[in-house]
Amino acid sequence: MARGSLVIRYVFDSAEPIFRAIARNYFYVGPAGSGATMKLVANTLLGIGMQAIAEAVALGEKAGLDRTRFREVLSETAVVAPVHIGKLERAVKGDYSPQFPIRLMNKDFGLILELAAAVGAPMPATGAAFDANARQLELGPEQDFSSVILQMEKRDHVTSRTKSGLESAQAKEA
Amino acid sequence: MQHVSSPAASVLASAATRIPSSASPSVRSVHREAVAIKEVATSPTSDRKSVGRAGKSELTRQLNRGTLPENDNELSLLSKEFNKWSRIRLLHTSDNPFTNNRLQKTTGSSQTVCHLPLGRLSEAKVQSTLAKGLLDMKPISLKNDKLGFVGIGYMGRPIAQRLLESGFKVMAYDRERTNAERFVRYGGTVAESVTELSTSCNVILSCRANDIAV
Repeated sequence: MARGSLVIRYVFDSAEPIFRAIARNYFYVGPAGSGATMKLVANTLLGIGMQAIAEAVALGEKAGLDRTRFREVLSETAVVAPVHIGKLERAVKGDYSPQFPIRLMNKDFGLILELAAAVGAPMPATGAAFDANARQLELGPEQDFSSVILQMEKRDHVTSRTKSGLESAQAKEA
Repeated sequence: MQHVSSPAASVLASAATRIPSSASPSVRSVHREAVAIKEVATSPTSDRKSVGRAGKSELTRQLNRGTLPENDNELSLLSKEFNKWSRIRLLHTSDNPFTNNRLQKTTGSSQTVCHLPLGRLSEAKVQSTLAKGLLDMKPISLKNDKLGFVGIGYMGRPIAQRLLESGFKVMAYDRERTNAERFVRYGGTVAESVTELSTSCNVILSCRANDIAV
């Protein structure tokens, strides 16, 4: 988030051959630092989205849905972003090998909340997602950031939940 | 959003890149804009709402008149620093990005407007030199440029690799030497230090995780 440097549209255009080589899409978003801010805005959705999926997965399991089947169904719905569908598929196989290590998502959460504090943007969901991320980070900084699914499964005591517990919960709902 | 947290005032400099500096009427018009825009800044129309109401025609009218107030020492000194360069003029100081965008539109396509975040007057010298360097910048090309890449990690390596595949000459530096060396097999070269990188490359890219790595 370096400031004090300068960017003009002209410089962006001069550097276009580089952008063309490394990206399918590239955009001019404003003066120096705007691109980094844009990335933090996008990664806010990446990080909170992952946490949302982790909670939904833990809920589905806790409520007794078929582990594989409900994830397949979820992948077919409009509510999961393309970037997160692959994470769901890998999670069924228990594959949390790094594509985007959790330590880097943790770093981005930190930068996002710093920026939020500086500009006065309340981000309660981001704070909660950061907390889950940080707890899982302690268990292995190099696992994929989707390993927050493990964290939610663990914290929701999915494995220890008994059938009778589920039945009493359903009885309460009714 | 950068502007909200930054106390630094934005300084706009304009370079009449498509007008030869020897053409006196053009130079005069550039200079007039420089002083006139300052007047916009000091007039009540400089705030967000009134500029919005005044619109482009009001700004254009203000561009065509006005003189630099002599008692404004800071702006005079800044202007003096910028005016050392024949094609760069200080137009305006403001911390309002809305006004900046409006000014960029008003100055038209014949000029390049350069946003320079400035904290103190003493930085004007550095910033004006940078502005000149950037405005003289040629498009980056495979043939004429050698790229230096700092940070060959999770993101840096694939990015640098794509640059190589596109035909760029790329030299890499990483704090972890093994990261940089892994890059050799894709056709890149390795620098021993940032100094070596910056002396052998004319374009530097960096991909680091945080300020600590910087």
